[in-house]
Order: sequence, then structure tokens, then C-alpha cells
Amino acid sequence: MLTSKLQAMRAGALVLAAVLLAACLFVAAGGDLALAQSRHVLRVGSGVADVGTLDPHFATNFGEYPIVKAMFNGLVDLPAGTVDIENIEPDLAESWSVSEDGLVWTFNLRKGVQWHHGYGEFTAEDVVFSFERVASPQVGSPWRSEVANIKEVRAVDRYTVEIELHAPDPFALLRLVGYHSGFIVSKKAVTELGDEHRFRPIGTGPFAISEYNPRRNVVLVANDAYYKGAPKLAGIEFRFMPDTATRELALRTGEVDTADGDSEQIWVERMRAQGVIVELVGPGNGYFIQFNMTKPPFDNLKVRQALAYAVNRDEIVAYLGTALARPLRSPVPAGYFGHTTEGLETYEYNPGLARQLLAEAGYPNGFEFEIYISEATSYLPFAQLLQEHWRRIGVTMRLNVIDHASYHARVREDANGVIFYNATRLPIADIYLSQFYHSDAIIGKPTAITNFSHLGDVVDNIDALIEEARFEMNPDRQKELYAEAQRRIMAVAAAMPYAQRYSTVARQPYVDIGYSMVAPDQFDNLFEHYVYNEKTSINR
Amino acid sequence: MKAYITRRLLSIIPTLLIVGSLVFFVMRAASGDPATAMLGASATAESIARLREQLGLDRPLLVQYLDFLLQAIRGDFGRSFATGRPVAEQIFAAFPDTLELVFWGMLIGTVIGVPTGIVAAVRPNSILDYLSRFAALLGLSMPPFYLGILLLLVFALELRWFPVISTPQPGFLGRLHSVFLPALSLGLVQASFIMRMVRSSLLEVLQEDYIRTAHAKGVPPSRVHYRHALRNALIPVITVFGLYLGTLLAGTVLTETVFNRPGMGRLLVGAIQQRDYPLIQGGLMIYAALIVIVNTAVDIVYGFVDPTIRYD
Repeated sequence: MLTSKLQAMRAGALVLAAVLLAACLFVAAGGDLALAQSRHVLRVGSGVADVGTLDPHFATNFGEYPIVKAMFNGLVDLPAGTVDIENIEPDLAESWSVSEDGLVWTFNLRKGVQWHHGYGEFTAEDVVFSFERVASPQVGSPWRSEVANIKEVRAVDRYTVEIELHAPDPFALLRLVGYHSGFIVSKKAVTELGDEHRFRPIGTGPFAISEYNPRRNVVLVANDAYYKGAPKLAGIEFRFMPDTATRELALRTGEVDTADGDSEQIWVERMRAQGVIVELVGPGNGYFIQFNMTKPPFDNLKVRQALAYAVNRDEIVAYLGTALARPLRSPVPAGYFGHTTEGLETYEYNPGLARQLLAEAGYPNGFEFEIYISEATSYLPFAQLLQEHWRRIGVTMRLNVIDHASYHARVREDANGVIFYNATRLPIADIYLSQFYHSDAIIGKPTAITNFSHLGDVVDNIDALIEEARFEMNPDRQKELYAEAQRRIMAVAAAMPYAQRYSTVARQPYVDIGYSMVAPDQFDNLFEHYVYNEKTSINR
Repeated sequence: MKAYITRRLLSIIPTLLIVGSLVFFVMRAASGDPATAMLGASATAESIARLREQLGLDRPLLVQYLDFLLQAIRGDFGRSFATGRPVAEQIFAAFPDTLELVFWGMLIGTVIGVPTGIVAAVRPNSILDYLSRFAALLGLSMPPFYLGILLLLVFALELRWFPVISTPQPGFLGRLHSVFLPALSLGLVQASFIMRMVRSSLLEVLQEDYIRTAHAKGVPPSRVHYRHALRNALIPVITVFGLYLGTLLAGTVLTETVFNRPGMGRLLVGAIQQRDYPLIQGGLMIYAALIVIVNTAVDIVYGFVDPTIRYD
């Protein structure tokens, strides 16, 4: 009896001692524990159902970019949160110089940068490998055309790289930023992992891949050895949440900390009223139509002009929400280097003139035609708005609504007389003009991209202007060339640009994104998502 | 009986091949191209052509079809275009989540639908009957995703009892917690359907002569209802159960989207948008197999419910 009592007392004393010891340790390690507690995992509501790849040289879909950007670096980068092309910053390259003829760029690389998951040190060899990989026809990266001007990439020594261009390029540095073709991958990892690299990519960035669960999430962990400093977050979980309503509810219940928004004014107002911070990011998506100038009656200039004059931009902007959208009057969206509306025929709304032009073209009573249109919310409503605008001048456009993938296939088969399109690109006029108005990009050609109007083969050809401007080192002269290109596109009414819309992103007030979202004057904030870096933190 | 089951299960093979072939040709007849969907809008025609070559889409259709058939016969669904992973691996990762949702949805549907159907039939034109009929009508006319959002608003946003993101959580209780709301939204629609079936079927049986005889013999009403009538009334309900499975699986597509659950529905919708042919073929073949198996099971259950049915 006594023994058991003693035993019980001894056990009690032991427990007490253990508790005291734990308390001491807790106090002693207070600082560390507090740090560990302050390092949260950021939960992101990503507006996609899944990702197709996390390999930066293949990631093209909405939703893939912010994940890739958190894991990878380029030689250089834009200042966080901006598209400030005047102030490109060092990243994996510490410094650089350019030869007098503008053809050879020499980059001095940062030493001691480690690849994630023990893939060794980043060296010049990785840079050579990365650019050769993007340029290789066998690899088939969709960003191959972005490196077309690179003649050769040479490793001078372990930490020095030379990039030789075919022709001087005023935007050579911009084309090397950590975006699409500019991301540097590990030669060892890509070679060893093969196909596995697609979902287990090895980067140098602030966060490293931890898990990918199809249709569920991608989990990244902090790379504490990151050369710009250990991330303030413990990690990031990108949760795939394709449904807007679910993302909104999850933000309101605090199940996610940031989310891709809905580009609807009412959504922005509702979320702000709930205390959620909503930010607009851009450069806005440009919305425009192209006329297929090989298809009657759109081969007739007066018909195209009539249809353009009948488009009421103000009504479209009112539909999109004046806080989110503005009218677009040029083939190159506002905020892109080289954009202008000066001296352009912008076809301001004038239904009277539209009717008169139609009559002159031989259609006093209008005409009817049918197009395919995507069911996507970024396509169908615009076709319906223009359908109504054109009905007012007697033109009937019948809409054959199909799914989005089919629409993209149909318009590439020359099926439509009028092509609805919207796009966000790297914000320099060259990309937009090359992809939408250069004759190489005309659909049906092996080099086809998205020139649906056939401008270049019919009516007018501005290839020489685009190419001259691409390599013009004097920015004023370059702007003049771009302005001329825009004037000629509008003069022949190959396209009718009508609106530009921002994307929205939302975050809880306790999320500090780590940089200011206020953009310099000429450009807006970058792209369609938040970019998460080592400075991003949760403060609560 | 054994021979019957074997025969039925063997019939899965030709069914699958037919379903697979149909999907194969229908998807290729629909416009839209996997390579374009994967590479995005700014890819050149050249790189799209190269990817088509890598995916084997440049070969003659008949060659592609024979290839598919030979693979399918070996039980190999190939690799997903979009992710490069084996289709079977992706389907078997997604399938348990969908099965879990369908199972609980059916259970909730049955647990609510059968008793209310009985009550409504036993007391026709009573207040209870009117109420349950009204509720069933509401359940049937409300789209499941709308019901889903309403449930989220009440139970996740206002009461905070359940998460908005119903991705399965670890542990049995965690799974149960995350599947409850989506299963409820699926189950309530299912319950409305079952309630109406049970009610009308039971009402019909209650008019039969043998029920009148039973009453006349002085058998207690509860015994008449549950022993004599319900057993017979359930036969058509069970039939519809099997047939309804397809609709239920289709219902999971929207439910999974609204409640943010990974699963077959979202897998297949994504695959269709991406024109991921192997994944669509594999997924629909698995669905077809499931429907054949469940309907075979339903036929077997008949034998137990209705002794007059024999399989020889």
C-alpha cells in the first residue's frame, strides 16, 4: 500500500519536473519559437482547375506563372510589382556590359547560388543550357520565338556568360527577365529528371517545390538558403479553385489568404466592402476584333470602316465596369512601350456615318453573316454587344457558340469573317505587332501565330516597319516607327480595338505582399497575379 | 446464378471497347486540338505541329485507332497528353474521392428519401405528404450547384461549421467533415428523387388485393406496410437506383467544382477542355464499367428482394 503511494508520488514528481524543464526550454527558446510561429504558409486561391506543367519553359497557362515565378529566377528581373522596363534589376547576374556594336552582352553571374534540393551550384553552364533548351526545335518550347534574335550563348568561365545577338535589340535585356524564356533551369536537374522535371522542377528561387497533387494543390517550401535572404513565409500552398464563388467564400472565411479575383466591378465592390483588399493588375488585357480581309464582304474597306464606326466603346466599357476597364483605341494596348493614339483613325462611334459607308459599299440594307464564338465569358458577351451595335445599322451577325478550345481551332482554320480576341503580352509594341500583324504570323502558314486579318498578304504590309522598329536603338525613332505601324493598321481597318481590362487580385489585410503595387507612370502593375517573393509575409 | 454474373461481367469488355471507340471518334470529330490547347495562343504553327508529332496525332486516324484498341485490350489507357502521366494512375488517384462523394450522397439520399416516401404514401394527402412532396419538388428543380452555394453560404460562411474548400482531409473524421456538405447537396437532390419513387410505387402496391386481404385478416397496419407492401414497392426503386448512377456521376462534376474537391468530374471536364484524348477515353471507359457493374449488382439484389426472379 505504502509502496504504491510512494510510487504515485514519485511519478507525480517526475511529471512536475518534466513540466518545469519544458517550461524552461520554452522560455530559453522563446525567440526561435516565436519566429517559427510567425512563419506562416501562405494559402493562395488559384483560379485554375489544375496546372499542365511547372517547367518554366513550357508554362503558358494562367495560374502556372506565379508558381513558376516563386521557384525560378532569370539573369535579370523587373522591379517587383512593376513593368518598369527602364529599371531592370540584377538577379542571377550581378552585373552586365554590352559591346559597342550592341551585339554581345556579357553577364557576371552571382557566385554560390545553390539549386534547390541539392542539385549543386548554379553556373554559366546552366545559362547556356537554358537558352539552348528554349531555342531547340526538338524541345519545342512555346517561347522559342522570344529567343530568335540570340545567335549564341557562351560560357566564358564558370561565372561569366556571353550572349551574342543577330542584331542589336533595344529590348535585349527585357527579353532576358525572369518571365517565359528568361527563366534559368538547372542542366543537371533537367537532364537527370527528364519528364519528371515537369512537376518536380528545380530552381534557384525563394521557394522550392514540395508537392504537386493533381487538381488539388501545389505546395512550395521556403528556400532558406535563398541568396536574397530567407523567405519570411514558411511556404506557399497554391490551391486550385476554378469556381469564382468558391474563391470568394474561401477568402471571406479566411480559408485562403490571397486569390485570383473576378474582373467584375460588382465583385470588386463586394469584396472591398467585406474588408478584403482588391488590387488591379495589368497591363490590361486588350480586347479587339480583326476583320478577315480575304473574306467578302470584309475585303471591302468601307464595310470594315462602317462596322468599326458602329462599335460603341463607351457602352462596352460601361458593361465591363468603369473601375476595371477603359476604351482601347489602338492595335497596341495602352501601357505597352510604343502605344499611341496620335494621328490614328480611331473610328469614334458614329452610326450615321456607318450607315452611309455601308450604302456606299453597296449594302444600303445591311447584310447578314455568321461567326463561331467561344462560350468563354471573355468572348461571348463582347460578341453579343457588337451584335447589338451592328444590328442598329442593319447588319445581322449570327453567333454560333462553341467551346473555347474549338473556337481557337476554328479561327485558325480561317472560319470566321470577324475574329474576337483578347490578349496580354510582354508590354512592348513589338510582341503585339509581330504576333497579330506581321505577315509571318498569318494563320495557315508554318510560322503562323495569330494574324487572322491576313494583313501583310492583302491590303497592306507593315513587316518592314515592325522589323526596323525591333532593332532601332534610338527610342524616339523606334516610337515613331511603331506609331506609323499602328496608323497603317487602323487606316485599313484591319482591326477594331475597343477595350482594355485589368485583372483583379485580392488579399487579406494581414498579407504583406512584400513590395508596393504602385506602378511608375507609364506602366501598370505586372501581369495577372500577385508575385510572391522572399519578402512576402503574413502579419497577424 | 454464377454463370449469369460471369456473363454480365464479361459483357463489360465489349461495352468498354464500344464506349472507348465512340469517345475516340467523337473527340476527334469535335474541333479543337490538344497541341494548341497545351502550347497556348502565342505558339507558332511550327511548334504546334511538332507537338502533334510528339503526341502521335499526325499519324493516320486508323493507325491511331488501332493503336488505341491494342492498348485498351491490354488494359493500358496510355499517357495523358497534358501531364505525361499514365492515365490509369490519374484516374485511380481521382476515383476514390468521387466514389466517396457518390457513396455518401446515395446514403443521404436513401436515408432521407425512403422514410419520407413511406410516410407520404401511408398518409396520402396529409400535411406531411404535402410538405414532403413540396420539398421533393424544390429539390428536383434546384440545380445541385445552386443548392451547393446555398449550403456553403449557410454552413460555411455564416455558421462556420464546415470548410468552403471540401478537399478531403486526413483521417476518417477529417474525410467525413470535408465530404459532408458536398454529399448533402448531392444527396438532397437524390432524396427528392427517391422520395417520389418510393411514394408512387408504394401507393400503387397499397391498392393491391393482397394488401386488402392482409388488412381483412387483421394483420397490424405497420406489418402490412413494412413487410408486405414495402418489399414489393422497392423493386422499381432499386431499378432506378442503378439507372440513376449515371446522372449522379454527372452531378459530381458541378458539385466537385463548387466545393473544390478534386475528383473524376473535375478531371474529366479539365481533360475535355484540354482535348486530352487518352484521359477522356480512359475516364469514360471507367465510368461505363462502373455503370455495368452497379447494374449487375442491382439485378442480383432483385433475386433477394423478389423470390419470383431467378437467374439460370
